[in-house]
Amino acid sequence: MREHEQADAVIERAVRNTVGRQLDLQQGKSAAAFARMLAGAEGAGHEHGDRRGGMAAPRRASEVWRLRFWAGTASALAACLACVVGLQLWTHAGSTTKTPTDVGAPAMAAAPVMHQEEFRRDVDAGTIVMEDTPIRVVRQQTVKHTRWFDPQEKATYSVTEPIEKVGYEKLQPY
Amino acid sequence: MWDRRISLDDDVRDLVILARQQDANAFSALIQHFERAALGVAYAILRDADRAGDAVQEAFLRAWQQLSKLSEAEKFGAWLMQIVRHAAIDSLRRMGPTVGEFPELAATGDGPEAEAMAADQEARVKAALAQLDETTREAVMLRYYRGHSTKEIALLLGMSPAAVDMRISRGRAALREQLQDLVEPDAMLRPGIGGRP
Repeated sequence: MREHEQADAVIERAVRNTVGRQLDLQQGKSAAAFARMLAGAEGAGHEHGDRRGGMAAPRRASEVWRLRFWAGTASALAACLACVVGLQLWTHAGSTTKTPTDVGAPAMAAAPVMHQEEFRRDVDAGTIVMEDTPIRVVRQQTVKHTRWFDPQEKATYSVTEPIEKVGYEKLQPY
Repeated sequence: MWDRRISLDDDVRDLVILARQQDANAFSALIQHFERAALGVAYAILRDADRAGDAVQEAFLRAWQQLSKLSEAEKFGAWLMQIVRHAAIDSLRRMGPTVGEFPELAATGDGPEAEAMAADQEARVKAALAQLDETTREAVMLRYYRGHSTKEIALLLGMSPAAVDMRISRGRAALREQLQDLVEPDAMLRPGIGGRP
C-alpha cells in the first residue's frame, strides 16, 4: 500500500510537470480574449452612442458576434463566387481552339493570367511509441497560393489553401 | 478589480450573480478561478495544449454570452465544464483528432542527454494518459493539474464523489502500470522495458 502511495506521488509529479509545462502557457489566453471582446463591444457601443463601454452586456456581445458571423458568411460567399468565376474563365480559356486570326481577339484578352505558388515544409512532430515501436511523426505542411486577374472585371482574385498531411515513419530501435 | 483568491463556493456564486448583471470584472474573476480546471478538461479531450487553450477561450466567450441561460448560479462550474466539453468536441470536429502530438525537447539547460530524457518522460506520460478513458482522464487532470478535491471534481463533472474516487483510483492503477519505469528508474536499464539492451 505504502509502495503504491510512493509510486502515485512520483506519477502525480510527472503528470503535473508534463501537463503543467504545456498548459501553463495557455493561462491568461481566455482573459485576454474576453478583454479583446469587451474592447470590440465597447467600440461598437460608442459608435451607437452606447455609454456602457467596458461593461458591455452579453446581449451587446452577441450582437457583435452575429455581425461577425454575417460578415464571415459574406466573405465566404465572395470567395466562393471568385472561385467559380475564376474556374469558368480558366476552363473557357483552356477549351477554346485558337487560330492565328484569334490572336488579339477579345476571347484571348479575357483569358485570366494565372500565378500559382506552393510553399512546402516538413515538420518533425516528434516520435510516438505504438506497441513498443517508435514511430516518427512528420507533418507535411503546404500552402498553395493561386492568384489570377480577370481583365473583364479588372479584378485580381486569390485563393490560399493550407494543406497538412501527417506521415508516419517507423524507426529502427537500437 | 477582483484580485483576491476565490476559494469559497459563496464567492463564486456572488461572482456569477454579478456577472449575470453584466459585470465584466466579476466574469474576469471567474475566468481566473476556473481557467486551470477548464484547461484540464479541454486537454483531457483534445490532448493538445494549444487547441485546449483555444477551446477554453471560446468556451468562456460562449459562457459570457449565454450566462442569462444559467438558472442556478451554484452550478456555474459544472455548466462551464459542459461548455468547455462542447467547445473541445467542436474543435475535434473542425480539425480532426490530434495525431501524435509530441513534446519538443524541454529546455532544461542540463545538456542534450538530460533534455532527451525529459522529452522521453514527457512522451511516456502523454502516452499513458492517452490510454485512459475520457472521463477518467478528466478526473485525473482535475486532481493532478488543478489539485481539486474529490467533492470539487464531483461538482464540476456532475458525478458522485464515490464515482470520482473510483475513476481516480482506476486512473492511478493504469498510470502505475504504464509508467512503471518512472517509479523504478532501474527498470529503464533492464532489457525489454524501453531501456538499453
